[in-house]
Amino acid sequence: MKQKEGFKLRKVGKEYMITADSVSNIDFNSIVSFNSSAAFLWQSVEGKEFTAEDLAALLEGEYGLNHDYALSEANKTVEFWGNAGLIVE
Amino acid sequence: MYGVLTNMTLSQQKYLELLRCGLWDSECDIVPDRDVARIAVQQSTTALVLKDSEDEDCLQEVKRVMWSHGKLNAVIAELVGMLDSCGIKSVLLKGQGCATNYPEPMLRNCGDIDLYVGEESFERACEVLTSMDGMSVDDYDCFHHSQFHYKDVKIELHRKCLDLSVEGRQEAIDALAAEGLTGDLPTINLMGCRVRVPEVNFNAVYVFAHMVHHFISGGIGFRQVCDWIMLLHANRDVIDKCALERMLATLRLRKTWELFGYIAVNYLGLPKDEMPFYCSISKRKAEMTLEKIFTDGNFGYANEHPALKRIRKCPLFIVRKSLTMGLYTVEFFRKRRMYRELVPLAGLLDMYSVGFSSTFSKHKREDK
Repeated sequence: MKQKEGFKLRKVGKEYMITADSVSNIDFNSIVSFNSSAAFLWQSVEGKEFTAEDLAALLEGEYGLNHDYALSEANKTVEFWGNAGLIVE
Repeated sequence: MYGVLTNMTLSQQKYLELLRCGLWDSECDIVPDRDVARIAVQQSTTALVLKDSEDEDCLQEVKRVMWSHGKLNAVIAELVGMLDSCGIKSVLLKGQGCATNYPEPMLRNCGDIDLYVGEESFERACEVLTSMDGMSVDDYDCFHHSQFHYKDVKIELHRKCLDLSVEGRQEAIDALAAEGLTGDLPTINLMGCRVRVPEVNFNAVYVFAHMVHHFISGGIGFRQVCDWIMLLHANRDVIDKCALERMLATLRLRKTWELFGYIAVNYLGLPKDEMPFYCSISKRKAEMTLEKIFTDGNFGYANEHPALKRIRKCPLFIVRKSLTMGLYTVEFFRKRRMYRELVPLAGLLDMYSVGFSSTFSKHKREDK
């Protein structure tokens, strides 16, 4: 999977928000809010193909999580991004 | 190097620098302070200017602006879908349509929803909207638009796209609207709904004429100027100068276009080659116009003549009216000297007939 083109991660204070640019004309009219770890994952896989395993490895490396917990968090993140229409298979 | 007004305060300079960075998505090392934040609110450009602020109150305001787009777009999609299902073609004017021209649409401060349905469909469209659960009718205006409230959003349903009766150019704008707001129009995608927007060239002139109309009659903020600039920038490859020239001549707005064009290029950073009919004009005139925008703020909310505040306290009606008459007559001739092509003498008669206070405050009452 990979991120859809046309989204931009913006830091507003301590919060991260995904907004759509006007060029891509994608059907996205709401704000999606990220915490810092989700923002870290988003930035890390920008422009790349990735899997839930890749995200889990990133979480393990950055936050020292054990593999099972990191994978479960990565799966939740992928599901959230998918439901929000931010990624394509 | 961008222009700086002779009398521009440091906060105003910082504000313009931050606004340019917001418009053109460039890095800025200025941190907005409280004074800049106040100007940004007055000018209805909060999110564009304060997005990188470190102040928690400012950031809350930025987030509020960003979140409000979802609600507004959902209401537009619902209304347009409802009207479509009844066979009524609507066109989204200004507002969220303009937002799509910004690099990050959600950084444009939201206003209300303006839907144009035209003369023939107007009564039927009013009936359709009134029949919706939760819709309240705020104001029925038989000439220009009717005003509704739905899900905390103000909606204006237009039979005419612009009320130019004061300037005496209604037939001209109506004739242009007949071409620019009908037929095969471009669409934007909001919440899965295809929403019609005006034809590009007409839109450039319409957004400009609307801005100028408010500039003369009540006041504008930088958001209105930014909407026009972003529209020209986003459509720079498809703008037809000949079509613009014809429409501007019809509305007698060419000189005023050149004035605002000079401001757009020299103070707000629009590339010169993207501004049709760019030419150098009197810097003094540009500065006076910018000062007025800074003073008036969004739709003139920020401005009330200090003398007017004192006059309003006068208990004698005849004295109050005489003083406001004098004050506004001076204001009228000052504007007429500066923006000759926009303010015909008929405007003064309109002011006499409507009443001075109400003429000058009518746009301040609008909750835009």
